[in-house]
Order: sequence, then C-alpha cells, then structure tokens
Amino acid sequence: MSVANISDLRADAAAAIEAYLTKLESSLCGLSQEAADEVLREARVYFLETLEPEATPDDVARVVHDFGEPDEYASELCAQIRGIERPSGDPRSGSGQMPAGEAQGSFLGMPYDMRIPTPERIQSRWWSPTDPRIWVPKAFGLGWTINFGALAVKLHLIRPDDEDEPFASVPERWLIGALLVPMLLSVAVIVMALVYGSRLPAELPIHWDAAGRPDDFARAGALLAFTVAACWIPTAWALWAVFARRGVAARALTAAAASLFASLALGQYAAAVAWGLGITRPWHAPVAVLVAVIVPFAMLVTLARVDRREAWRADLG
Amino acid sequence: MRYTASDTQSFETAGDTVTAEQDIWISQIRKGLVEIAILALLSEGEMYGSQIVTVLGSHPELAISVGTVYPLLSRLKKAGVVESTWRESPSGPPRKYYRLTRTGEAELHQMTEAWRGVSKTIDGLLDGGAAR
Repeated sequence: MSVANISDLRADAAAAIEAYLTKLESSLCGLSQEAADEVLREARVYFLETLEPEATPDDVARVVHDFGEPDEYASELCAQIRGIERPSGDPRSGSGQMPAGEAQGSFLGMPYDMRIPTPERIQSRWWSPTDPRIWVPKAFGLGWTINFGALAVKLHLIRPDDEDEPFASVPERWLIGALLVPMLLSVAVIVMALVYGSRLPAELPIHWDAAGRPDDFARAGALLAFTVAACWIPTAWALWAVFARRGVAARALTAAAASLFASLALGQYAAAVAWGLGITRPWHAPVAVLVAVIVPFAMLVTLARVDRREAWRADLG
Repeated sequence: MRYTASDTQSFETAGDTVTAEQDIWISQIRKGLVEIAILALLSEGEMYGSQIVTVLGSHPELAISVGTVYPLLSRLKKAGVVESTWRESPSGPPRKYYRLTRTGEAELHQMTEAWRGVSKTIDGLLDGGAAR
C-alpha cells in the first residue's frame, strides 16, 4: 500500500523526505527549472509509491539508500540531462539575470553557487574520477573548476573506479604529510618577507599584463598581509577539518585546496619580491599559476594511488 | 501508425523533429535500463570496469557512457548488488573485477520478469493490441 501525499506519512518520516528533496533540489546545479521540477516530482512519486503510511525515518533511509544519495543521484542526472536541454528555453540561462533568492543556478550560461562551501562539496567537485567532465561547476562562486579526478583518469594516472570511497584507506601519516604542504608554503611566505622585506621598495606589483609587465601596484605591507591571509586562512580551514574529525576525503581535499591557495599566494608574492629585487622575468606569473595547479593535483593523485595501493595489498597480498 | 524497434534509432537521428521533452523521455528510459544491462552482463561472469563500458558501448541504442557506468557501479556496490575484487592483469596494473552478489542475482531475476512483462505489453500496444 502506498500513500497519496507526503503529509499522510508520520511527521518524522515526512520531514526526512522533505530534507532529502531539499538537498536533491540544491544539488541540481545548472538544470532548467522545468527539468528540476520533473526530477523532484519523480523522486516524490517514488517515495509515495514505496513507503507505507506508518513508515519510519529508518524506512525513509532505506528507500533513500535504494534511490541514491541526493548528491550522487543529482550528479548523474545533471550529467545526462544538461546535454539535451534547450538553452533558449531555459529560464535560468535565458533571462540574463540571477534568479533572486536562489543560492545556485546558472547565469548567462555559467553555473554559480553562492552557498558556503563545505569540505564535502569541494571534494565532490575537485575529485570525482567517475565523472568524465574535467570542467565542473565551482563549489563556490561563478564559473567552472577543474575536476582533478577526471584529469587524472584522462592522463591514465588512475582508473575511474580505483577507489570505492575517495582516499578511504589512506594511512594517517600521508594525510598529515598532505597537511604539511600548505603549512610549509605558508611558512615560506613569512621567511621570504623576513629575508627580503628590508630590501624591497614601498610598492610592489600585484598584477601583470599579458606580456608579463606589472600593471598594478600595492603597498608592500598590504601585499604581505593579503598574502599571509590567503595562505593561512585556507590552511586553518584544512586544520579545522582535522580537529572537527571530518571524513578522510574532506581532509584530503581541504589540504589540496589550501595548497592551491597557498601556492598561488606564494607564487604571486615571489614574483612581486623578484620584481622588487630587480629580477624581472615575464614567465614568473604564468609559471606561478601553473605550479599552483600542479601542487594540489599531484597531492590528490598521490593520495589516490596510495589508497589504491592499500586496496591492492588487501586483495592481492 | 505502427512503430518498430528500429524506429527508436531513426526517431533519435531525426534531429529537426525531436523535442527536448522527447529527448528527456528517451534518456529516462535508457537510464532505467542501464542497471539491468549491467546486471545482465555480470550474470555471465565477472568483468572489470572498462570492459563493461566497452561491451555496453558496442550497443549504440543504449547510449551508455563512461559517466553513466562508473557512478552506477559505485551505487550498486554500496547497495550490495555487486561486489568487487582486485586481480592481477596480464598487462598493466591490477584490475578491479565486479560480480553479482546473491542480492544482485535476485534483483536481476525480478528486473528481468518485470522488463519482460512491460516489454510484451508495450509491444502488443504498439502492434495495435489496444484496438483488439
């Protein structure tokens, strides 16, 4: 026997379903309102057809388990549906305006997500080897970011299904090692400031043109303060993930994210310091950006391969 | 008008007449069938991920991609429908092989019964059975 309306269920079971639907809706990034409504309607019907009137939250959890977790299910649906939607008929992308009050969607064809990023959401965007898309919507802000997992698969460094749960079997010492990377980069900024600070001019470049010439400047003290903040705030976030006992994947991804920010900040500061010391090379800025991307990528691939090695050890001896 | 199995392909390739709603409908049918396709393959014996992708990819009417197979394998494993184990490969690093669990075998049996019933009914309707 099924139920006709969610309100016919027990209050706690109905609340569990509403929570699921809310999470599913918030995960349907980039889909048109029409397609999102259809997905939610299907999910609602599935719950109503599957559950008994006296169903408990445990029963709801069982159905959720069969149906798929919201993030996973939404990701699968988004990948399938996005490719066949009509751009002109999409009220989110066609209006040219961000829908008021919506924390995520698409704007002028670009996905946006203004929700406070969580380690789990960063992980689902940065490391999703089973998703072949290299460019995926950012976990925070407007535009796309790199799915390092897909890139690693494309480069034949891992296989899409090497890990059942990302980084689940990575030994603790490797996670601590990963966390040390952004910390050392952050320390390097301070060391650089202590060693060269007195020899630098009052103003340092903060932006370079396409030819590698500085075209914007800031006071040296302000640049240092910004650089230290850009290094240590993400590093503190990665440390928080450890102390808050977040999952292994969340810890690995926050360490990688902190490494990206710390590398970028250190790279930019190093280029500015080099200019201040009279050493100007047009390749400083692009190389700094490239290194900033390679550092977290290398970290994640290394951790994934360590994880895979542990799985081999368990199965193959 | 009578439809045949081959109409599915021509229907899809007639780009100027297929609406987005119809595309979504076809996509949803395929999505529902990927699971039974994977379970049917694994009922023949264990296979590794890219092998499943290659075999299913040889059936263009299913339009199955890497992005569909791997997330589904992950979900089926979490649900206890399939299990996996690493085995040495004659070329390259070890491979992860998937096989059906008892639960998976039972699920495939149920899905097969359901599919055959639905398929037979719809075929009958498409062949004009509703009018008889």
